[in-house]
Amino acid sequence: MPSTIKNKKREIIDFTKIELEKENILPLRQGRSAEQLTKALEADEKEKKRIKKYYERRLIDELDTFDDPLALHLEYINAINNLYPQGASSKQSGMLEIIERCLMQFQNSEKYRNDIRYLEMWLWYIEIFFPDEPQEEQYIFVFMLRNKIGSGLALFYDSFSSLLIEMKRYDEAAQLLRLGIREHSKPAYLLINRLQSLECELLDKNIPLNDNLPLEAYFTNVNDPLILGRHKTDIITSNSANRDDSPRDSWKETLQLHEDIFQDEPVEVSNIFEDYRKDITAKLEPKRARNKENKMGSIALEANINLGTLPQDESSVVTDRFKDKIPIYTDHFGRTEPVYKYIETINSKAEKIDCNFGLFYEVSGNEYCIEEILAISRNLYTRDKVANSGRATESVELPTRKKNKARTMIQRRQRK
Amino acid sequence: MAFYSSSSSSSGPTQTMATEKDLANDIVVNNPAEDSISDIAFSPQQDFLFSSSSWDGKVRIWDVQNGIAQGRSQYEHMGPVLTTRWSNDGTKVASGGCDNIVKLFDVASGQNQQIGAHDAPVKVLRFVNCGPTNTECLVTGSWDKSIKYWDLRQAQPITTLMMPDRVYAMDSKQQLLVVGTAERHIAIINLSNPTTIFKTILSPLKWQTRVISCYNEGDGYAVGSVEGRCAIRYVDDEVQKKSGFSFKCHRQTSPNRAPGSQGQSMVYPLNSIAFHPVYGTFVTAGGDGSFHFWDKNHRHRLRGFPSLQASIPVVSFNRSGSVMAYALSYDWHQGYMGNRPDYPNVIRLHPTTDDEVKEKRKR
Repeated sequence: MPSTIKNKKREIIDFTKIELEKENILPLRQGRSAEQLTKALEADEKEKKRIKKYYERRLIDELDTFDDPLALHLEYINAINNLYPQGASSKQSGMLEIIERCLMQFQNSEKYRNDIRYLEMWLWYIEIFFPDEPQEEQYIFVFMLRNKIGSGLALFYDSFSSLLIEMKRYDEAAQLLRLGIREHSKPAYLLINRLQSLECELLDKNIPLNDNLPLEAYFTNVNDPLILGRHKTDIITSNSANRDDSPRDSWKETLQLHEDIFQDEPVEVSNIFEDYRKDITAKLEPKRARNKENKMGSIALEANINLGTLPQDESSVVTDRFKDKIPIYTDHFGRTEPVYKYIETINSKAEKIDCNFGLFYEVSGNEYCIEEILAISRNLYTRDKVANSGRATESVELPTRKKNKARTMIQRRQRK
Repeated sequence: MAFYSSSSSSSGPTQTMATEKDLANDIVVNNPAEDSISDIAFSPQQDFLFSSSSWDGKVRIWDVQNGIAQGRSQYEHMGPVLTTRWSNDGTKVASGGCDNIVKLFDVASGQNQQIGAHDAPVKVLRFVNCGPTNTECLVTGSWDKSIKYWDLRQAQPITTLMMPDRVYAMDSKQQLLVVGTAERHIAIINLSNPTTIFKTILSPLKWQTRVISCYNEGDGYAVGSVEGRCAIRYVDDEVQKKSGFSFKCHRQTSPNRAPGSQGQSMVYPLNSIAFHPVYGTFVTAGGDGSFHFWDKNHRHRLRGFPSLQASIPVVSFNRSGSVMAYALSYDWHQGYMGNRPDYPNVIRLHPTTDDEVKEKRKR
């Protein structure tokens, strides 16, 4: 591969091939070698696959032996870049997976955190895969900030702040640059220059800078716990606002508090950096997983603004009648299903009797017929009557001895 | 059914199962009462005169002319009426009900009078000829655990006979009076000696006695229970041993059973049994809303009818057996849960055919 090429005698490059494919070649920041370009354009899928396989093999076998595992990844990425001049963002190249794998692998590594190559890879990743997606870019930048990737490198603050400036978030951009300076990121002059030029620019445009942004609390004191869903600093500032007796001032204070509130989801109002406090241990998900449809981006919400009525889905609108209480109907309430009597007999079908035997045969032993039950239910006849008359006649008509005899007869019959 | 199915399947071209078409000629009396019908009785003197008693507390006399049933007259009780019967001469209708009172209605004059009372609702009554002189009197059975004989002229009963328990069913033919009570007791009374119980036995059926009906010959009786079973009994022990049996009826096999499980049959109470006055065959009707004609002597079913989707509380033949009246109204066998506002309440008069009710010669 690259090493073998170097040893060979330089050949004259045939530009006609490049000429034909010119529009399909993605320009790289560092430029492209015309020689490799022609080779790549000539190479067929098989060859490309072979090279990819070769690197994959090396990643598995040799990665642990390397002092600088990032170098191997870089070499691989470089090779892919050369193999697919039409752009790493093409699906064929598999660059997305390769680069994400590399980024995830070193995400928590102290060694590479402030390695310029690693940072550049991140920036490149953002540049290639998230062009014109400021929300996504911001997401990744904040993620990097949280994980302190490139926190010692001025390049990181520079890139992030330029994104924020692009998004017209000047306050945050300035804050970020100041943070970079405070972190002694190198080269320091870069950020100082950047900040100065930003301040000048804003002065020119007559945009005031708000220095009281509690933004830094989000970055510096990451382990600050949430108190009832609010941050300690929020509570402190609101407390101090309460202490202030002047109503005008407190209004100002609340306004100020509101100024840095952004809507992420329709119901939840939060700062853009808020998200990353929540899942501090979370890993950056691959683009494929993150790239969901219908995902609503964060929208800045101006303070004390009436959004008007939100459009509602007609079908889900509850009419005024049910505003307070929703009546619930159930057929089973207070009305039971018909009760059946089940009789299981061995060697034959089970029988289900369409009568409630619980009514016919009381627990106390009294038996009732259907007409009796109906008469009782209509208060025309009482159970007492049954019990009373029962006592009277039992002594006269049916001695218990006889009854017992009858019972044993039944049992005998059943045994048969 | 077990006894019958084998013989009925070999009965050749005649169908044993009727269809709804066979009921198309029935005369329908819509809304004959404001509540469920409890009893129907035909006049012993006229073919198309009958009375019906209802839970709405009224007894109505109906007359059928030109295929249309017309209400002739009606009278009221203080509570639901449970039973009604005609005197042998066809001039009077007796009834008893939940007001504990026995009433007599004169068809000619349209007057009704109280002729007696029980301590509890009167469940069933019959006109019988009893005693050595064969005098006609009225027997009433009540939930006060007694039956009383009335001579229709005195406010006091001729005699009161204590029963083992509350009277649930009673029937009489010739000299035989059979009383079915709660706790499955059956008391047999010989009407030549009406003041004593000839024999008390326990019902051969496992569950509550629902109905009793005597044979025309007066030598035996059929017993129906809530568990869709009918027993054919004879008073004489020898005959009973030879000819007595019981069979299952009014049950349907549930079509939607879980695969692998044994079929489960749905059982309905047997509500009414009536014997054909000429042929001696009988009809049973049940809570499933179907009635079936049976021949007890040959032990097979003559004709079965499909369920009419409403329980049949009572069936009754007229004096010649040419018409069978049946009521379609809720018999409360499922309690109030089974009742619906739209539950049918009709009386239908079914003209019987010989195919249905005449016993078939043994081949």
